[in-house]
Parts: sequence; C-alpha cells; structure tokens
Amino acid sequence: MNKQSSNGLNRDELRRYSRHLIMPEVGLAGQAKLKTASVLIVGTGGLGSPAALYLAAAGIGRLGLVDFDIVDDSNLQRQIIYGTGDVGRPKLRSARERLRDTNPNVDVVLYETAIDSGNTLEIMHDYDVIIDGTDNFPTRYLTNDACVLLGKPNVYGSIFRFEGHTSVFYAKEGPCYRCLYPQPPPPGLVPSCAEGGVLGVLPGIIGTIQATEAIKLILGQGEPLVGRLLLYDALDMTFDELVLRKDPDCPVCGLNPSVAELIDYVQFCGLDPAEALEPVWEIGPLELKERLENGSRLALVDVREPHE
Amino acid sequence: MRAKTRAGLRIPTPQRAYTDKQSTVGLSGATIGEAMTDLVEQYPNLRQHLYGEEGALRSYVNLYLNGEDIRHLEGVDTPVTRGQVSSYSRRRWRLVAEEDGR
Repeated sequence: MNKQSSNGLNRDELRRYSRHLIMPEVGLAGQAKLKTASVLIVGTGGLGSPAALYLAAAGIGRLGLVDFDIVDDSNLQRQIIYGTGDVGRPKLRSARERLRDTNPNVDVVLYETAIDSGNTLEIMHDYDVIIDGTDNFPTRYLTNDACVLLGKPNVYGSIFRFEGHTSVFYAKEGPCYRCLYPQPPPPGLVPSCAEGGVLGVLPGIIGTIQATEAIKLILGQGEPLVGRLLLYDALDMTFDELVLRKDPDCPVCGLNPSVAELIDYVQFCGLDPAEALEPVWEIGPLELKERLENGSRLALVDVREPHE
Repeated sequence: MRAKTRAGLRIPTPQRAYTDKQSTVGLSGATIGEAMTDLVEQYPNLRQHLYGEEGALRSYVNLYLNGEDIRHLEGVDTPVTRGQVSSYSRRRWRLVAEEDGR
C-alpha cells in the first residue's frame, strides 16, 4: 500500500501533500526535497512551537528539537505545540508526540540539553537549516557563530510584547547576526518576555515566518530574508523592512575573522555563569536581610509604581 | 539658521519605558545627530541607553533612515531633509535595538 514511487513519495504522502504537489514552486521534486531535508529548531517555545508544527506538516524529513525545559502553565498562552495535559512533562517528549500525530512521516530527533560551545557544532552538523527560537543572548550568539562556522543558514526570530523581528542570517550570502549586533547589550538592559510580557499570538506570526523561510531555502524558491530585517508591529499592524549589510570587520563572518571557534557566550554577554544558569525568581524580606548582612553583591531596584 | 524638520522616530518596544510609552517620537533637527540630541533632551533617561561614555552611539543601537542603516549613509550627519521646512516629514526613522525572548 505504501509503495514508494520513483520520486520517493508513497501513496499516502501523495495524498497528504496534494496541495503542495499542484503548486509549480513545490511539485513532486520540491516535496521530495522537503522529505530529504533536515531542520534543527533551537528552543521549542513560542517561536519553535508553530515553526515545528508547520515544518512537520509540510513534510520536512527530519526535525531536530533542542530544549531542556518542562512544560509550564505560563507557556500555554503561546506555545501551542503543548496542551494543558502536558504541564509538568518534559517539553520535547510532548512535542514529539504532537508532531508524530501531525505527520508520522517526520523523523523527530530530540536533544534534551542546553546547547553550549561543547556540543553545538556536533548537533548542528547534521542539519540543513537552523531555526533560532532562543530566549537569551548567549544562546543567540552561540547559534549565530555556529551557523557561520558550519556555513548553514540561521533563520532568526525574536519577539517582545507586540513587536517581532525576523531575518535569515546566512554568512555565505549575506550578513550574520553579529553584523547587525556586534556586541550584546549590557545585562539587564533589554527585558526578556518573562519580564516584559509577550502577546501570545506574536510568536505565532514570527515562528510561522521562520518556518516559511526554512521551506523556501530548502526549495530554493523565492527571495529569502537574507540581508533584510523584517519588523512586525502587531499594535500598528505594520511590517517594515530594514536593509542589512555584511560587515567586512565582522569578527565571525568578516574578511579577517577573529572568532575561528566557539567561545564562552555567557561570559561574552557579561553574565555571571551562576546567575545565568539559576535564575532567582523571588526572594523574601528575611532572605534579603540575610544577604545584605552577609555583604553579598547585589543591586536593589525600586520598581514600585507611584500608587504603591 | 537652517530649517528644522520634524520627523518621527520609531522607538523599539523595550525602550518605550523611557519615552512615556510613546511608540513614535516627533523630533526636530536638520540632521540625524541634531534630532538625536533633541530626543535625549526630551527624554534624558534614554541617553545612557543610546550613548556610551565617549558620547558615541552604542554598538547595539542601530539607526535607520528609510530602511537604511545610517552607518551606510552619512552617519549622524545624514540630513533628514535638505532645506525643507515641514511640520512633519514623511520620513520615518527607526531605532532598532536588540530584543530578547521567545
């Protein structure tokens, strides 16, 4: 019944992908390309969720997922790959079940680990396209540098409140993330979504654009977002586009790169490794008193509103 | 005296905390440098986030005029409009800074 045809698609797949197959930009040859392609999604959160679902549905042959979190109630507002019943479970196991249901033809590979300078090249090596769905600067610079060193396209996305950015950083053909942002902002300057919030739908838009760009890169169709930063403002409902240029002095992808191997990205971003690994969400007044008396290094910031 | 142009500067979401939550700020100035001076005069708390100790724009702050990075134009000397007087230029600037989150 599932006899393979000459183009590598069986009868079930021909039916499943029929809306792709009748498009001139995809067709049998394009669908076969998607089937033999592999995409690694770094972070299966707000961006990674819709990206993974659409890429699986589109028939990407192998999908790698990197994450080490467990599903939390606060994820469900935007991380649509998970359901209420998944709360408390490891994200990747839940995601794999959902993706297998979406499309059993996809080989889903799990990396239940935090990527770092020691394991990233090995993990990324086997993939054609990398999707950046990370939520912190060290991992974002790490993803960028690894993609440059391996010569792979990095489909970037970032979100905050009502605003999202996306681009394709592909150093072979255009700028990389470091050409746009050579240095990370000082720690604490740019708030995270955990601190500042994010509209749940926003990563749906940006993550879906990332999936679209990955598919275009694999098919070799259309104009990829290489050298362009797309800015989406959900409040104004506008899309703007900025021109990005390759920086000849870029330390990773420039003419005389000074970064020839992965570095310590936690240090590069000016973070204290202990703080970076173990965020402290809340401390009580007694603990604060103790810390002050012990003379620990800390900064007290008064965030009370005037009415408080 | 050169004619001053008012132009809109789009503020990235994380920095709107320093612009009374305004997403677009009206600025006066014949060049981007002058307009940026107007910006930090209107919103002094933004200064430390935009400028380093030597008074240069920080490397993680990118300014765009009509979608083009001003580093590829004439930098802070890039004219907003040439000798034109208008209450509001149609030109839109973008200040783009890094975002975090997923």
